[in-house]
Amino acid sequence: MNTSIPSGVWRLQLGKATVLLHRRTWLMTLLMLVTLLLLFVLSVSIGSADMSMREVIATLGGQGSKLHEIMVYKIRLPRVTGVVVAGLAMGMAGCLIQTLVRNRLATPDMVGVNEGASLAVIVFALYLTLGSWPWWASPLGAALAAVALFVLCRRPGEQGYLFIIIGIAISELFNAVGEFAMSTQPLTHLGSVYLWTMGHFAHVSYQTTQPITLILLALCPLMALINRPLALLRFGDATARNLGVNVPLVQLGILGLAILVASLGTAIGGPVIFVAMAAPILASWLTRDNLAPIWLAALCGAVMLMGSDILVRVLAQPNEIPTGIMTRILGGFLLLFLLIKDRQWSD
Amino acid sequence: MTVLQVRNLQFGYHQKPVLHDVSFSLPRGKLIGIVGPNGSGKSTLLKLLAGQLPLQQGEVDIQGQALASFSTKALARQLAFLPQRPVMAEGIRVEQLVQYGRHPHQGWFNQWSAEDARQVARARDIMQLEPLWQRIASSLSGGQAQRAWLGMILAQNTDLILLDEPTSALDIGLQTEVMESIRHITTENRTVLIVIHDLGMAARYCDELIALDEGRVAAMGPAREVITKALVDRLYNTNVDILAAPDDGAPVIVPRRRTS
Repeated sequence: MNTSIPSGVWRLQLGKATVLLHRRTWLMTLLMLVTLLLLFVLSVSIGSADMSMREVIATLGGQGSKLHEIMVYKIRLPRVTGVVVAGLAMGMAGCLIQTLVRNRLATPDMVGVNEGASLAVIVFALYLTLGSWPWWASPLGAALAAVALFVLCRRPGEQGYLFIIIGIAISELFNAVGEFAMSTQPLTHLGSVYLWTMGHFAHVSYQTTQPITLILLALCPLMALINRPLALLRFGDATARNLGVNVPLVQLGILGLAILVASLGTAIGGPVIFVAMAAPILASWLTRDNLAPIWLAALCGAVMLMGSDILVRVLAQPNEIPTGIMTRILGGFLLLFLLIKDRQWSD
Repeated sequence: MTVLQVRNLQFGYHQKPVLHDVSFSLPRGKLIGIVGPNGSGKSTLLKLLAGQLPLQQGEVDIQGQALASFSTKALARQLAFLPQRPVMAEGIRVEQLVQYGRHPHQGWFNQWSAEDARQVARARDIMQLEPLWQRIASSLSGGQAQRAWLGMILAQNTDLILLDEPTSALDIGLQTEVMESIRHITTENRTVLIVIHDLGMAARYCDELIALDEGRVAAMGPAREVITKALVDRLYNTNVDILAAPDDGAPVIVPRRRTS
């Protein structure tokens, strides 16, 4: 048997540097990229005024009519790019927290991080009317929720279920405070904020998406660096440390990244349930391996959120329904499925 | 030169002392067993030596260098540690598990070298993992899983190997199989330190034993000299008979009944 190269990988050699690329992982990455591109074009073509996918491509290439240009650039692209960026961020954050806690149910939308983020945004948007959308407030709220979570549950890697249950309680608490804050305001003042809390992308503007995209891009090298130790953390603290991972440092890094990324993902279109949980599960299913990398989980997140957004727009036409309602329905089924499957395992 | 030197080691969890003034050194190429009753501090001692717990008092030198001076990754090139119940990541194959043993020797731009290939093949052959190579590691039986873990530890290619109760959950056939594999590792001039409960197995396979009693070294030396009726009776609060095994005279410990 030949072990000169691990099976199922491509080996890249550049001078002295050797990099391994897992074949299946990269093929699936490519597949998800193509899927995302197709959905992107499809998503731009859908709306009250019909456009063919061919016209969308022509307009994006600068060959479209004036009317189409306005439709694409002013109305549809802000929404669609917002969905892509939020989906990427949610996939990343889900992958990071699930690995940290070693539990598939531990995602930022389950444990209160997203609710913390949205509470901060609600408070800033309602009480400190600033004119622009206070997306930058979200990491503050998320960090607050995460601190509360970690003070109440010290060892997330070893007490997965406790972590999740405390997280659900925190999440409910933040949610309630947010609703209280909204209920003090007149309804007319409330419209867009209320829709946002249900996960709504219709009013997303470039002023929100652009800085968030830049921050996420700046975090990419850190993600690449953390990907290998992240894979080893799945063997528990002791084995990870034995294999040379500085466990406390890496855990802190993962937590910081996860909070930042999750809150930025929330800031765009509001707290959306299900994507952060499902994206890493889809990614590991695609690679037939539970060690799916962060970027694949991110791509899966974008594809899923985009799919939900398209679905909600097609089904509800001509009404506007928040995308988060569709993800809630899909997420509810997924959660039930996972819990029932886990129960069968433990029987 | 000794591989590992321990001087006046003391340790406690939250004011509760666990180890008192433990000192010993390990010669190269030997299999050494740590024995002692439950709660005597065996696992704590092993975790301290592996850098899994922070040192409080005393000194530990690895290859003549202070344990605390190693970075996590540098330490992982000096010693390998297998916890009592390691967590198996779901979905990975035995091949991948063994390859992860090379992580301390790799970097972002050095993900696979000829040496990596050589060490992984070596570990696979010593632990006889060929038939299991493409199996999903979490679906293996207890003995097979233990061999796969030992494969990962061997791929790490360290002079010192620390194993916390590698045979506890196995039946006697598998215990023998795993102990033979561990014995084989020491023929490569590696030092293996194991925590082990079964005194008979310990006496038969280990070159030397360290007996711990309430965090103190109660006895230390060649295995067959350490296992005496007096010591076993005292350590485990029992009344035993020690017989000689018919084939090689290794001590066999038989506890007497306590009832009248």
